[in-house]
Amino acid sequence: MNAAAMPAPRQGGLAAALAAMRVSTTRRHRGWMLAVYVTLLVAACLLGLFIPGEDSRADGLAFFVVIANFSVWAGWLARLLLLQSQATSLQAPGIAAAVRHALALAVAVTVVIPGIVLSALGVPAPTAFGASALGVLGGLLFALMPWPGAIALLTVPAAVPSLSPYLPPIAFPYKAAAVAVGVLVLVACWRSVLRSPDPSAIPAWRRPVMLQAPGGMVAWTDPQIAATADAPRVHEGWLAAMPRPGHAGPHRPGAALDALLAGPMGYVAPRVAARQWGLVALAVVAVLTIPFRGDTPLVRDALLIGGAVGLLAGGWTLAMRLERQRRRVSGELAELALLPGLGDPATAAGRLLRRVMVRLGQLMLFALAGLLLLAWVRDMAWSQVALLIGMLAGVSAASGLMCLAALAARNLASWRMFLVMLPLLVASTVTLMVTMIRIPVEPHAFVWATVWTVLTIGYSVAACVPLRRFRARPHAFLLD
Amino acid sequence: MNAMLERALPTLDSAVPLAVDGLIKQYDHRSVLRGVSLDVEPGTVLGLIGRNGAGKSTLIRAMLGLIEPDAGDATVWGTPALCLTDAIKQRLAYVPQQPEAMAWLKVGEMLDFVGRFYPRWDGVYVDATLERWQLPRNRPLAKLSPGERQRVAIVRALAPQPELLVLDEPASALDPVGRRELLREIASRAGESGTTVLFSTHIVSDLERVASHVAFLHEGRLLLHSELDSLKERNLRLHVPEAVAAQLRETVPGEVSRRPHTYGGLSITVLRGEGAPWPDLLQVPGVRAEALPLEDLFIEVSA
Repeated sequence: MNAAAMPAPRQGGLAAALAAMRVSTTRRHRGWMLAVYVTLLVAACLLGLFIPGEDSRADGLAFFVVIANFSVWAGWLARLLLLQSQATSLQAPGIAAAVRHALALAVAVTVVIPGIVLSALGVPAPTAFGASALGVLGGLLFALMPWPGAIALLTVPAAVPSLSPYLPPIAFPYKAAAVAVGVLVLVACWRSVLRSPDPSAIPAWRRPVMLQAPGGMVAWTDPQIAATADAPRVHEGWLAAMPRPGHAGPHRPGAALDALLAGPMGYVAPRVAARQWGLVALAVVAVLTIPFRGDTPLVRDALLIGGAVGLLAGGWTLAMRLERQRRRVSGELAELALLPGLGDPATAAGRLLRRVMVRLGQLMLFALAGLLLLAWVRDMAWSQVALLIGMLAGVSAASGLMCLAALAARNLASWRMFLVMLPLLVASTVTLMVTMIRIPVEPHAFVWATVWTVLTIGYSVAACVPLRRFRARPHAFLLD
Repeated sequence: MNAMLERALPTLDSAVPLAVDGLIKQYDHRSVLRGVSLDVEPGTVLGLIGRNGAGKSTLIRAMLGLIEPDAGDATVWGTPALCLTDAIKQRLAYVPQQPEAMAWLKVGEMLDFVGRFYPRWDGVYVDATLERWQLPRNRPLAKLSPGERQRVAIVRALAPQPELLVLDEPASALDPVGRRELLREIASRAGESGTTVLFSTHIVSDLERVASHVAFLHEGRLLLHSELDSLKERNLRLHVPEAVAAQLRETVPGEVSRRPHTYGGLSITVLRGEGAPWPDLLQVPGVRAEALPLEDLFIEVSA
């Protein structure tokens, strides 16, 4: 946060508030957050204009506004509280006042404007303004709570309808009490952040979500910030594959590469792997056996889809790791570049490429296993299973393209890459919806086959460009 | 395997250990290196000095082939830095400014792993130095303080007994005792083994303590490259009285900087070339001269 960019105290409250919003995060991150926010609000408006009046219409529109406010507050505006924490510790009352103005302005804009828009579209005013406020509260809670609490928060929307048969009707006093509890939790979390000026000193299990990754959530959209040094505790979790190089060396250069690149490229000891798979199996069994209401197991489906999407995103995670390594000037890539025993530049590049592709293949096999499990649990028809496998082929090709782009020093977090991946995102989302809602595939089998064949071939062919670029580099371990 | 790698070691050749010619590098349309040319002769201890953001780290990375320059050449013992062979890599070591590689490993684990790649790895030196510097083998690197991390990186760099040692601000995180020990180590390596050393710093006293040569980088340009003792003997600050200053029409030969003197007249810093005479201005009555300490000279040059 760039306090130096803050306006002088004599400037107006509005200018100071806007400046505080600006300096609370990076320009790129602001752009992404605003894009998401505006898209969701526009989607709500379009749905409101084109969907005729139904019982569920008001709830549907309100849901969009909740998600929009949740996103922008969790991803961006909650960082104002961090700025205020720093202003307090620096004893800079001018900045603290500017942050208070910024928070007031942000609340006014994100509650009032969507509330008025929804009211104009025919949603009852209490629902319209209540949904906006709920989104703000949810976003702040998500950003400030430790990760176990944040995950629990995310399950609330799905859990409440599932548990409703066992609960008394949720009247207004209960809702008000729930909101009050949320506000109290928020205040407690906020005080915890204020009292801990050094976020890395907070144990990982109770560190706020917005401070979990190096650089916080801003790093999700800004690779430069993602390239900061790993937080010390990131490597202590046994779920992360931070390999021990016991058997690696010049006699096993591939293992040495895996050991140094770590993360998704790393391997773990059999004992640790057994623990990891044991946990995954436990989670799967829990999802399959916990009884849910009637024959619409909403929570189970949501968890299964989430798991499948997580596995499908394995290639993206790998590519992001490779890009991050490239940007860390004193990291493992510099070590690899000067380490003897990995062969001449061409040999080392070939080894790196092979290791990355092998690991990508393994990740895609995990994704295949996840999708097959999903198909078995949902008792899908063969046509739907074939559709999922077609999707996996497309995702694999796109993941290969991303990994090669990362190796070839391309920027992954760019609008260009977003546009390249947009067809995949749309096709994957529709495919998952079709298979989960059990829409028949056979009537449009040719269309589906064409879509996924074209995407798979398209991404595979496109991957040749970064592959050529990677091979043209003087050596494989160049930093940016 | 190590024996095999050792056989691959070439004999010492006469090529310059480190050389760059016309190096240019830009980041986001901002020039970081603007045509830097520099040779590091065998056996010298070159101190690369410059202000923050002068381009020292970028120059070092380009010299070692860690980044690709936009233009110019960098060579290590005559081989292009971007195509280093295993034999050359075995002979050089590099300490980055803030070592952060392999932070999840324990100190001993990392050193054992890296040691497998170097045929001349000195395990005895590693054990002795870890004990002397009180660095526990079983502690994860991530849990060490920045100073301890830097010490481990220095042990890792010195253990292969490199013939070329490149250190990027190696003392930045060290306490005075640690800095003194490091400088002593560098001096003894250079003196006893003939190791060529390049180290960047912005602490002039460190440089004066061990460097045989000095290079001054300012805003991506190499302003000075000289033997240290010679540099000390070739600079003067001239205090020119007002009456003489009024008649001064042209630049003084070797003039580095000129500014008004606090008590009137001018203060002119000159740096004469190797073997060149002092400027005639020195003979003019009323002009006083004083030799500048190195730190003051750098301030004048960068001004």
